[in-house]
Amino acid sequence: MEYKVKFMNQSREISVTGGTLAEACQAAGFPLNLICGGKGTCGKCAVTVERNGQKEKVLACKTMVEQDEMVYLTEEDYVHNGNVLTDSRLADVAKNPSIKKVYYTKEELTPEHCGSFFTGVAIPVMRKFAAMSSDFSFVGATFVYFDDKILDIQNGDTTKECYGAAIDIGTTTVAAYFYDLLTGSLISVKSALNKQIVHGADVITRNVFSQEKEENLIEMRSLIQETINNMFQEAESEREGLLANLYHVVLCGNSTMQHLFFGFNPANLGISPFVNITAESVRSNGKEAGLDCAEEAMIEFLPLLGGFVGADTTAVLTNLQKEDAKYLMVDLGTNGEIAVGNKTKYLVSSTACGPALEGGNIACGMRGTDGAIEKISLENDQVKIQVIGNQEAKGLCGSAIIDAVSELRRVGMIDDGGGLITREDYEKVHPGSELAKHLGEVEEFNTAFYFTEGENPVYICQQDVRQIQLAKSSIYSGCMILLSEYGLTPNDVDALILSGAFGNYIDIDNALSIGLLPAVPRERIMSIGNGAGQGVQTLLLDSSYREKINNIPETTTHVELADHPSFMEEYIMNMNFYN
Amino acid sequence: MSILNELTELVIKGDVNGTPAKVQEAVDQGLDAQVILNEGLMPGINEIGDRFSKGQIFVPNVLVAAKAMNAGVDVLKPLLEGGGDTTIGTAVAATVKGDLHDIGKNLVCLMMRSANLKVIDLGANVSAEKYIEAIKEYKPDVVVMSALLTTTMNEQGRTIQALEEAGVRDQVKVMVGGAPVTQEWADKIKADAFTADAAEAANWAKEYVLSK
Repeated sequence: MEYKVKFMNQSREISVTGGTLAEACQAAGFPLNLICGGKGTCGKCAVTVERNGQKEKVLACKTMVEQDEMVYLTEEDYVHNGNVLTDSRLADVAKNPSIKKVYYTKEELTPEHCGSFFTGVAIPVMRKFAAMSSDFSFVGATFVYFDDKILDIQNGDTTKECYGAAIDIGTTTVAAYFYDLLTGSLISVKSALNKQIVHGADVITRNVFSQEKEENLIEMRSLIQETINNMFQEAESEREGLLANLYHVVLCGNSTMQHLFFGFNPANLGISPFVNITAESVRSNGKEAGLDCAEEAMIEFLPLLGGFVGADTTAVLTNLQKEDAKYLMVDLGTNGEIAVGNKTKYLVSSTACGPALEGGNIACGMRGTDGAIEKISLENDQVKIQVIGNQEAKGLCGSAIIDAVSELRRVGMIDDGGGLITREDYEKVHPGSELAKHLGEVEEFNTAFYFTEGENPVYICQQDVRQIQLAKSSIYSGCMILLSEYGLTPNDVDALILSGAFGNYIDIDNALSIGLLPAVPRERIMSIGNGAGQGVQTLLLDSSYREKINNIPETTTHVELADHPSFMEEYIMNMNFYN
Repeated sequence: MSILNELTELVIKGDVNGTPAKVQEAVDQGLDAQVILNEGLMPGINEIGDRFSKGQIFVPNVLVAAKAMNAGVDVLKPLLEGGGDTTIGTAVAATVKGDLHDIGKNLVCLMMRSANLKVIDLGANVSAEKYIEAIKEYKPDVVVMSALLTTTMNEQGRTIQALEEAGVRDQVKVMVGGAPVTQEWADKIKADAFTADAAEAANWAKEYVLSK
């Protein structure tokens, strides 16, 4: 039986075929804090459900899903760390997967006298069929089709088990969405750190490492295979038989991730003119790709868009295909990807905004995990902070850094040029200010604003503000140049789409106020979460998108910002704060 | 405030229109062009370089100040001895092959020009052969090699190697810079100087030329 679990506060609904309520929360991207490991002893997973109009608290780890459920989850109920990338709100995609299974009995299969069974089927598959059909106990076989091509043949009737996975290979985090392709329902969501991270946090460092010697490239390829296979095994442990029947894997990732996944030396991608080995959609099978799914599975990597603009951007654009709308899409990360346009024509670009927006190169910066300050307000002459995991503050994550700069600007502590003023100067203008007491110096000429005191205080300093100025200007200037190349102003944009984990967490008003985003009217700005993840899921569920996706590179032009005539001046001057 | 102090302030402020107008005013008042340059404009750009190195101001201020400075110098040029060539030395600057990023290098050029150096800007994505040609043609005192990417900084080393093979390495001082570049890297590839920012680069070049 299949049951619907509705997450009322998050407007999310998933279908499950059993398991505990805690597992359903996990699958929907809201993992609960199972401190006791699901033994029902810690009480941390108590959630509110509504049954027959009555709200009640239940222990999610001990509650089996045996009916449709309505769940009221608060922000505190689930764990946010490590799961930043699994949030996605998939539009209503038609359930029309590329993979279909059909069972034929021995009688149905047997060709006419002296005929043959197949044409155009891979040799290992024919070999397998020849073996199974020659056995006297053979009664029938299940054919696995990818569109109308025979991918594989399984002994017996396996038509009830048909699975697919959509995977977004991020430089930092890899997210995998597992689907039951018969029902089109999401059965599990996994996210994991990309194991390649041990050889560098950014694509350039990994690129350099991979081209140093052949073993390095092989290692990088194994690391991403391992990352994915570990998630595969986790999913298998939740549903036995999933991997043997996993026949379609749709992947996306930036250009470097694509190269390393297939074991292409990325050397040419690292230096001008930044060429890819192939920008086309790449198809492989499970065995060749080194994944623990069915050996004959269709492995499909979305096309790249040129230079550093990869298949992750293609995936995001998959769901931004209206003809009459003008989109501005910004994917914030170490490499910011920007796209302007619509179905008929897109301009795309990548801009190296550095790791500052993710907390890198920032004195007290950290990722959005437990202990990170995620929100800051300086209202009413007071410092208010919100810390992930409700514990002692250890550092600032990206969203807090943007809040900090915006708030320090608002109260007059950061001037138009980005200078963080000293306590003495601030008190001259704001005598008796409580906030002024938080100003200090970490070293000579490096003023800082302290959010917490103590042995390991959390602060933002002058040099951090400089890093943010560089980052925000690279995004803003990139957007403005693409818009002007398209003949648009920010006001002409129908929708500014923020994609990626980070876009989900930042305060959009603060991002606008520091000039990270162009001045598109506020009500037209929205964050879609993991847009790349949504794109790969879309293709997995609906084969009619394949043509649209393969069309994206043809209607897309890559703009190189570094040699654009007005980029330098724009980039430098936009480092200032204007409002 | 004396007119020379006013000029200094205009450069610091980065007043691209006010600076040349004030230079003209000073000229009309009969001040010597060399004095206007050395005691009016130069202290301004030096102050900017100093504040930038301390982190008190940022790249936009440097850009507008250098622009204001150069606009002022343009007014003075015809009046200065030797047809306006007041430069103390020559630099050849470029971003190395494979790298298109030239903002940092452009800032270095601006600051070096403000420091009274003649700068030949070869642009971005510049091969070792072009560097060698330029060294032969312009006989510079210093050569600037910029690289923004870890993937392209190797090219700095290869370019230095090529200079060596072409027999021109000893004629110049090689300065390297760019986001991933460090003093260690500079030592490893046998560059003569690593500087962390444009102001420091201009300073190093100036001091080297003056000490020659």
